[in-house]
Amino acid sequence: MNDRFAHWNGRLPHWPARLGISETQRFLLLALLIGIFAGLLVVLFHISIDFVSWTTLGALSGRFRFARLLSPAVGALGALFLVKKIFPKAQGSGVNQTKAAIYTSNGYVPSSTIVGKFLACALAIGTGNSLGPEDPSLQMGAGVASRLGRLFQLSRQNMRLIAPVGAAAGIAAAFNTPITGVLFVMEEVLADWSATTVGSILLAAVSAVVTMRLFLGNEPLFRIPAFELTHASELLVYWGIGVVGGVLSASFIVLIERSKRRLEHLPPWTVYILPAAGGFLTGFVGLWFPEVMGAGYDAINSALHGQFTWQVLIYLALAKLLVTLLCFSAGTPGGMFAPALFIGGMLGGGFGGLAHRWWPYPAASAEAYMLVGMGTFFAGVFRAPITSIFMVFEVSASYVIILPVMIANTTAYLLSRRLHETPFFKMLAEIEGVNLPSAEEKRNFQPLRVEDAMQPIASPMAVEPGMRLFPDEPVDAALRLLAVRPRIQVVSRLTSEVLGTLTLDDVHRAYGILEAEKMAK
Amino acid sequence: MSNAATFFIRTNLRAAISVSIILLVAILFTGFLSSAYKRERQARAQQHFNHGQALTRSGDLNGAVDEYRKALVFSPDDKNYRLALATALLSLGRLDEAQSHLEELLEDEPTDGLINLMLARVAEKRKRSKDVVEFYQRAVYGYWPQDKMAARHRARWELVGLLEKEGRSTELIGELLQLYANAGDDPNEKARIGFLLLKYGATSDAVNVFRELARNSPKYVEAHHGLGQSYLQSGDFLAARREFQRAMHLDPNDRENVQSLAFANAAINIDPFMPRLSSSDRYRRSCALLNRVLSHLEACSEGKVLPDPLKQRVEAAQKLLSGKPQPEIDDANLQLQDTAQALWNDQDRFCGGRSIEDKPLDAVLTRIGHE
Repeated sequence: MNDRFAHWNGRLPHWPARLGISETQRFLLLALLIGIFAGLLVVLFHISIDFVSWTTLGALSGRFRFARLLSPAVGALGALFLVKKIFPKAQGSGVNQTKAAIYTSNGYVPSSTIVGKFLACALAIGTGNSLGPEDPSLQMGAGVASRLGRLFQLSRQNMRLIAPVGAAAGIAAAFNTPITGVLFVMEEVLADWSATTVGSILLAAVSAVVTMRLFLGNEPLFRIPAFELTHASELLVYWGIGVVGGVLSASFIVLIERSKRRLEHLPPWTVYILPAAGGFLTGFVGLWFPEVMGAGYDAINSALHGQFTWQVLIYLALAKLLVTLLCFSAGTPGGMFAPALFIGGMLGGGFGGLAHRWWPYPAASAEAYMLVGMGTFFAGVFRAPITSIFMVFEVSASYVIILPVMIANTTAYLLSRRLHETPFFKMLAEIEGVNLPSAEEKRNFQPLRVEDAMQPIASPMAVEPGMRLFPDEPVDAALRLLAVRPRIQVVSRLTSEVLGTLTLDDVHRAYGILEAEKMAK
Repeated sequence: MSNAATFFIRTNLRAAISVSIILLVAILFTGFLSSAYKRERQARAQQHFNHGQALTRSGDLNGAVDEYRKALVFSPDDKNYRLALATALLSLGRLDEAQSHLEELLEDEPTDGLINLMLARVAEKRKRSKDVVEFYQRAVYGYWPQDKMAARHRARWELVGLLEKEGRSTELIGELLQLYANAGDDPNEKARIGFLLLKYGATSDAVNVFRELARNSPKYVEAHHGLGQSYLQSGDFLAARREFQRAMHLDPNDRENVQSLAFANAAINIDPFMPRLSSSDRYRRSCALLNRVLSHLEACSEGKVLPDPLKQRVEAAQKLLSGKPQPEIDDANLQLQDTAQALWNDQDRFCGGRSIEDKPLDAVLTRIGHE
């Protein structure tokens, strides 16, 4: 075997270089490959969930209504057994596991995670537990990327980048929306907008969605009726939906946090009882509201076509909130994206239906409000406002919707943040005992700039030849220059006049080091 | 080449080959599974759809709606399933949901005749008259995969029904003429068009329709009856009588024809414009007309005080009648007819509605008004 490879190598020395493939291009090619693999995996995941659902909820519940009570409980029990006993690394939130892989283990995601997540989540969601397939898809995508990265022996830096590439591919294929996939990973997982990262993530997301559509067809996630803004005063209603979405999403995070923390203190033997109980209660609620079982996309589609009255929409939102809380807090494997869209959508629809009836000005039908509602709850829970806006935009393919969505989502996001400071994934990470930076923290972090540290000059000074700094450059960049020169001029980009000077002491002062030393003395 | 570089190339080449093989196998496996999955979905969708059809036939529309919904869950792109669901929902009066499904179908096929027709029915039930006509017109000019002309024709008839209900006579007449232009050989349909034209005041068009019908189907009673009515309405009482007589000849038991013939004869007997009448007969008939109008006015104004202008006009008419007869002067004749016609209109306003007992008088005076 080795001889054969040696023979090939002799004929193709430095084959990547000979093909004119640079390291960046190789990374992009790998992103494409990751996208295809993630797309295939999501297709299989989707089929598996449906297969389990047909076998349990479809066949059993058709003949024996009370099978609906047991199906989620049995599914949750089986899923938990898989992640506890056979694939322990597949436990926890997919987003947090992926972030942990990036920040703590150089992008390493164990391959067993892919199999574990696949089987456990297909079983849990397929049997009707109120959870979604997107978060597991994200983690499976990251797992595929990590495996391929290891296979192609990527550098440590590229290995850290490859996991988010796979994550974007996974979530994009699961949502069937490439832009949303990319934005979510950029906004929540990576919080980095550099060109190389964007390029590879975009490529992976697009190839994953194309692969998924190739096998499952061009069917969109939701079949959206035409959206219209009937009257300008409707924007007030949308703002109202944002307020309700913000309050409810913050309350939802609080409820999840409290229930998770309480359940933590229960004896170890309850670890299997809780998901089974959660599943059983889900089935119980499902006897009256079967729409809340599983991911719930079919129910969203039905609601988008006006199947339910506004009262039913509100009942459904509250029922889904309850069963999702039960399933997720109990530790049943699965994601939160689909339930969040469901709750938000139904709530928005219910609120919209109410407005359609009682608003003194012309108001659109409830379905239009559903779309906006989906985004508000998503923005409020996951604190990803840009993703939430683009997700609704991408799903609806309507330009008119942008303004209401921006108003509602931003309101929900700000209100939720005000009411409960810790974002959802950060809260989960804290409960899981991992200290991961939240995207919000990264966004809010402002690095020191040269203008923050420099000493302004009292009188005009001539520009010295050689090294110089601009006021907007980071202090980190200045430190490299200060290593070779004790004092550097800071020059205006516009007029090239000297604005001030910078020394190492100035930098220390800016960072508060001198004050700290003085105080220490 | 250094050992490290050789190792790197060898490992990457091996990885590339392994990944290519795995990818190929994965694509084949996923392809096989996804096609089986799609087949299963289609089969389940078809099963629910068939069940829904059976329930629709048995009259259980609620059950049918549930089955159609399930069919759509498995096959959301299927137009027939969505259309069947929308139809059932429309029958159940669930307009919001039906409209939503139809609008989605319309987005994919904006020129589809059936979808537009159903949306027209939804809009009609919601009393959105502007949308209704627009949807009906789109249905009429839309695409129909089978039996195009007949389907368009049916859609236009529905539109005519709506316009009739809303009393939009100008648009109605336009649609009726279009219907007539595309009507086949069915004399009943042509007669229906003719009578509607007559009803909404398109008398000359009705004459043309019935004349052609009578020419093509000379033994068709309705053709002669319709033509007689059209002539009667246009004031050609003699032609009307001729057509009613023909109709009577074909069906002597038709009571409506007997009445119409009597009406035509009555009009002929009082009409001062009948041909071959002498000047004195014409004058006499004009006087009789005015007298008849005055007696109607008197009858309906009994116990009421006539307004001054009307009172003056009645006095002038009475003066005209009591004056010296001047049968040889055309102007005197015309003055009598004009006065009779003007008083008839005043009587209409004053008494609130024309006297229905005297249709022949009304027909003759209307004709005089047109002359």
